[in-house]
Amino acid sequence: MQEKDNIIIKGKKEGLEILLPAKVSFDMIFNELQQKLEKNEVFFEGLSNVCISYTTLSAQNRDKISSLLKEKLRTINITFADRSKKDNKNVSNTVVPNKKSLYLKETIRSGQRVEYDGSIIILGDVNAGAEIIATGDILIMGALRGLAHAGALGDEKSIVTAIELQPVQLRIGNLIAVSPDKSSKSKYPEIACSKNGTITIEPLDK
Amino acid sequence: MSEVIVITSGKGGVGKTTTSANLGTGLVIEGKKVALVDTDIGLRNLDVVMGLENRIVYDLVDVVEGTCKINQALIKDKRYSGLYLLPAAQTRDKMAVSEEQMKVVIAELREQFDYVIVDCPAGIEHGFKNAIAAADSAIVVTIPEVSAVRDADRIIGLLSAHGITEPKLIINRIRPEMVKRGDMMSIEDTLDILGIPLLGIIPEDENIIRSSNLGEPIVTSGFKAGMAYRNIVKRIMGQEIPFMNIEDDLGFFNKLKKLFKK
Repeated sequence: MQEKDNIIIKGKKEGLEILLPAKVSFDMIFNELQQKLEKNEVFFEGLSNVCISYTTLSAQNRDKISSLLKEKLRTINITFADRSKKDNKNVSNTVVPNKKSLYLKETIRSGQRVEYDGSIIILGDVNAGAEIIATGDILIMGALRGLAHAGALGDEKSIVTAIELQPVQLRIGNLIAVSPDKSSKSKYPEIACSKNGTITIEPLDK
Repeated sequence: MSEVIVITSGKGGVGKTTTSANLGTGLVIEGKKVALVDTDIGLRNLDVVMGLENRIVYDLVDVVEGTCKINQALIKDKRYSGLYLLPAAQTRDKMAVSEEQMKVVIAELREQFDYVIVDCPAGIEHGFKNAIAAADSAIVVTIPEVSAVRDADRIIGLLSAHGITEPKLIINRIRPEMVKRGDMMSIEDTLDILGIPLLGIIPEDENIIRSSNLGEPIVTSGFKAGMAYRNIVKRIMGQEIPFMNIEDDLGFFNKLKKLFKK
């Protein structure tokens, strides 16, 4: 078996970039990739963004690689970039970076308001009487007891998630959800998102 | 080193003044020299709770305006030497004193006393800002009620915005039998929301009302609430005192119930 490394795997800020060699047969590439992934499965597993950079790749072989990545790494975003094309400078940019986000490591208390054009991540609680307004997503690593408004400019694809999701009121885009009068403490992290024009809440690990 | 402690709560009627009076008196019993400062201008109460109302000649506003020296306005307690009260003016309002003036007054008191206890008015406006202007640390008093805890949370946020980062919490007027029934917020629930260290718990006690009316702080008595205040005083002085088992009350009630059942 050929021991030579034909495939180059690069870790980048946006995710993984896999460079496929130009003058090697696909079967060999595929085998090597399979071996490499198996060898480093633990290390690579769960990486959400992978970019495949190639020079020649048939649609059929693309699918093969996609299904391999999905099977081995449970990768969500797979992008293909053709290196042979002229603007190969954009190769590493094929993964669209997320919007900017604000990270706060504190508890947001009654009367405090956090507004941000982007997503908000809070390591701490958001107490009743506090307001968190983001144009993007809201992630609370703690209890959310106050008001949270994700997608404040109308983006209903935004989500709100918290370890203890028990807000007085939730807003996503132009939708408003009011907490039930008798709310019980959630025992697991939950995520709120809009589905068919209403805000639905479900366990985060679903 | 003297310490300036502000007693605050946001909501009114949760026991700021009672707590100020009792902690001040308790610290004096422990041998410290203490000044109590009432900053609730226009709605002064601390003098009444201390039973010193009739001795007021000058007040905080007089000191600030230069009408008198600070030692002329300080009222010596009738029971304990080493305990002094700087009363608030009753006929003026909060705007009569500024934050800067407050800092000057507190700085003067700091030189003479081991502890300066500042009784803060309810609310988050000018009076609150005056009271916390020169404080080193804060004690937040709350009762196990959703509205009071909400206000306490707001206050903790405001304190931290003013640089008082780790206030301590006193949960007042807790009724164990109601907590047991699930009708009252428990200590754990309250701490869970506020997330600041607990300094003490005071059980609901009718004797507090009686002692306030009489102008005699309960901390000197043998009642349960008095004991609770004495424990808090020791904790302020840096001693490690275990929290009182308020469930004891429950035991007593249950015993009584059993007695009647027989």
